[in-house]
Amino acid sequence: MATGVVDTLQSGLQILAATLIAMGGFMAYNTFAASVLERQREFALLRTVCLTRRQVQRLALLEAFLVSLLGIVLGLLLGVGLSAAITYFNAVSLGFEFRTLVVPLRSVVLASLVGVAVSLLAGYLPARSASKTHPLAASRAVSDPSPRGAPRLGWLLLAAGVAASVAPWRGLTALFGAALAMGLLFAGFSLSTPALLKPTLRVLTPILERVFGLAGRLGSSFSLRNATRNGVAVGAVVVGMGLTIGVGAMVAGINAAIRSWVDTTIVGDLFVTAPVSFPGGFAAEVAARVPEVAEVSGVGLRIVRFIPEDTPTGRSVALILVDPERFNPASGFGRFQFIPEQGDANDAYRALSAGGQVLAANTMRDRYGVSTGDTVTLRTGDGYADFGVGGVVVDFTGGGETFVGSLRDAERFGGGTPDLFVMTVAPGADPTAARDALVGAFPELYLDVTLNQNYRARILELTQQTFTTTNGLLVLAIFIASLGVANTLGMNLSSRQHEVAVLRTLGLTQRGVRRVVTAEGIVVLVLGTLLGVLTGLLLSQVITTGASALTGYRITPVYPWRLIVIALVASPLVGLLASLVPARRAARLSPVIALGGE
Amino acid sequence: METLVKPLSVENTPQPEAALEAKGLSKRYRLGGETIVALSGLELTVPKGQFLAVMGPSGSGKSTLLHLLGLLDSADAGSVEIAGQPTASLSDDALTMLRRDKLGFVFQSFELIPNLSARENILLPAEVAGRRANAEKTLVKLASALGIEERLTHRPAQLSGGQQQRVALARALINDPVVILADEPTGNLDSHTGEEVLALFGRGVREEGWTVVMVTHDPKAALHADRIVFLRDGKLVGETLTNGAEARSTIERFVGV
Repeated sequence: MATGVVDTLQSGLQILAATLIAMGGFMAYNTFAASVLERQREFALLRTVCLTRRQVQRLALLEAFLVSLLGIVLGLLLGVGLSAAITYFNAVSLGFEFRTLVVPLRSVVLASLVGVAVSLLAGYLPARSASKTHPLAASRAVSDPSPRGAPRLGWLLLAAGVAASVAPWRGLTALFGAALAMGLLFAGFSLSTPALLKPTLRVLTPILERVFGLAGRLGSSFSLRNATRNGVAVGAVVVGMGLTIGVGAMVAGINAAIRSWVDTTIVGDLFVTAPVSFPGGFAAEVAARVPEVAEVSGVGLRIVRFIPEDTPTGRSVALILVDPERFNPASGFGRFQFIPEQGDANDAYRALSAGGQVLAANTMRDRYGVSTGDTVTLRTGDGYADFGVGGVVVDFTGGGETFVGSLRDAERFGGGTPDLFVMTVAPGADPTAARDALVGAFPELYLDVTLNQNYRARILELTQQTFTTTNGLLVLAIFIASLGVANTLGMNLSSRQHEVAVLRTLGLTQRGVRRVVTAEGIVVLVLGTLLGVLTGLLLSQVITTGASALTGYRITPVYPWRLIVIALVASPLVGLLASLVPARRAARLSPVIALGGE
Repeated sequence: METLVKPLSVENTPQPEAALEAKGLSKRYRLGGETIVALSGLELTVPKGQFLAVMGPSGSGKSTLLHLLGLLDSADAGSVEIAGQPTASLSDDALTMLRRDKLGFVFQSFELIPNLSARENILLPAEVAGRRANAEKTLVKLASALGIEERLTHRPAQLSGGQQQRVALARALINDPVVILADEPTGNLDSHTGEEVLALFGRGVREEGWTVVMVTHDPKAALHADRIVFLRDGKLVGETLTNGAEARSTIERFVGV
């Protein structure tokens, strides 16, 4: 089980890392663009005095480069600090000593190179616009240019993104599809948000006015003023939210699949293991000595060599040997989950009873093309032998690389008695009492008996733990997006200081100014969350397909509706938090600025 | 007893009620390690219904005076009284309310909020004060008096400079202020439009009883006022009434025109 889950986690982390870098890049772009705009006069002066266009562009790019270096140093420190903290925490919680921390040099170098490249890319357009500053702009007022033709390009990218997310990607190409769709949707939303802001405001403005009064209306209409910049901020929220919902749907899908498998196949009341080998005839002894137990069924666990068609060296896979009678549709208590058109319970019983046949886990079908009616080659005690495939079932054991065979073939795989016994209790008997009776009846075996609910809980807990890390990273994505919004609001404020001062002069209180900024933050976050949820729903299929291809699990996305509702309800609150610092700054602005003072 | 503590002049010749009073105003700035005295012990009384122009070279303290009279900044010493109400010890919120209710501002570059229509801009101070309903009536009157009835639905960018300044004037008047503070109100207008706006100020003062304090460096603009005061190095150095024959020569003497 572990390898499959780790693979999924790894792929999730890679998608996440790529997206976080993209988000960082867009925020860097936003910041560079704002700072170029703010210093338009300065650049114009440089152009007037001495520098050529090329030199101005180089100057701006140099700044981007220096910023990226600073970012790398800080990022590295933060990364090492965080990983030390996480490792220490894990060490403490798992109970081993924390001694060393390995800093992966290759990752550091790679991340640094990517960081510099992304920064330069983000700085390129602002640098170009800086170089195009007309010398006369030194004496002109600063204006916020909105790129021409941006909305149309935005709609195009958006359409391409939607197409990429619903396209029928096959196998591993789905991973590429997920990344492509995410990039296109992000860029598309960033560029088309200015057009989407107006209809959004039609709905939001009356609500904000009701809550915040005039300040709410002003803030809401202010969000249109720097629509281009707010668009990128909305885009950042879209990515954070979209990723959370998309990956959340995949994770929930895996959980649902495992849960359903556990519910269907983990049948039986007691799961019994022993530190010593079970004696032959243990099942009969239990029937004789413990009246509380009704049925006893052995399970053998083996690792065998399997030779897929295109891998002559073979793979080590799990082989689970079961008692065919447990899966007798008429009388047994065991159940399998079948892949559609890959056999049913009768076929499986026939195959297991006959011996010399196996059932394949669905992962074997997805990775190695094993289907019902095929023959597979497994190494037995007498060398390689062919086994017929009687059906394909869902099984998450051993990372999904599993065959299920009959205990009647146990001799061919090293013999011995079963490693585990699954038992049901007699009608009306208490499982706990049955457990105590069983342990008491065989003191020489030191039996370890797990009740059904504990056994299930243990399996589910294992998977849950693995996904907790992913959830933490998703929260991080949303946090970074909020920081991006805070940053954007701050930049908006810089270009609107004068206006804020005029409002203060006209009689808006500090509280009123805070509310103006907060209302704008809420607009950006609510719109971002709304579009992010849509993006997440669009992306969940392609992300899940990618994860399925990578892990071999057959997963369908499960939409995390509860998460979606929480996100939508919480988004105004996050907007409020993101605007705390810029709102405070705005409130502290001196109204003197309105009259040209400093 | 009472008559003894009152100055004789007040007893004998009743002064017109003061709209605005500056008493011993001082303000210093630190700039690059140097202390700059912007105002030092300035005394100024503006009676109700007067159109006052403040003139002076750059650095004379005109802007600082306007900041202090407008309750936008606090003085190091001295005080500002608006319609007899002292303002020295008021909180930021209380000062904001006073600005909103008692002062009207007209700026050199109009300072209309670009994403609001002319109408919304004019109503803004009334809305901030929660008096929108009453203000609607005032708006109709002001718009017709200032000749902007046809432009009320337009955004600032769709208005000419003169129209924008009329909208700004209407905004300054919407809460029926005690004083209108105008900072170079014709600085961004051509001379013809500037004359029109100044004529509006003059008519308002004569017919509606407005009180206006206007900072300007333009002698022609200053001549629209009733009284001109001259500022140099943070002190009042002279003044003249504009209805006298000596007004032009006084301006020439102080401003060097």
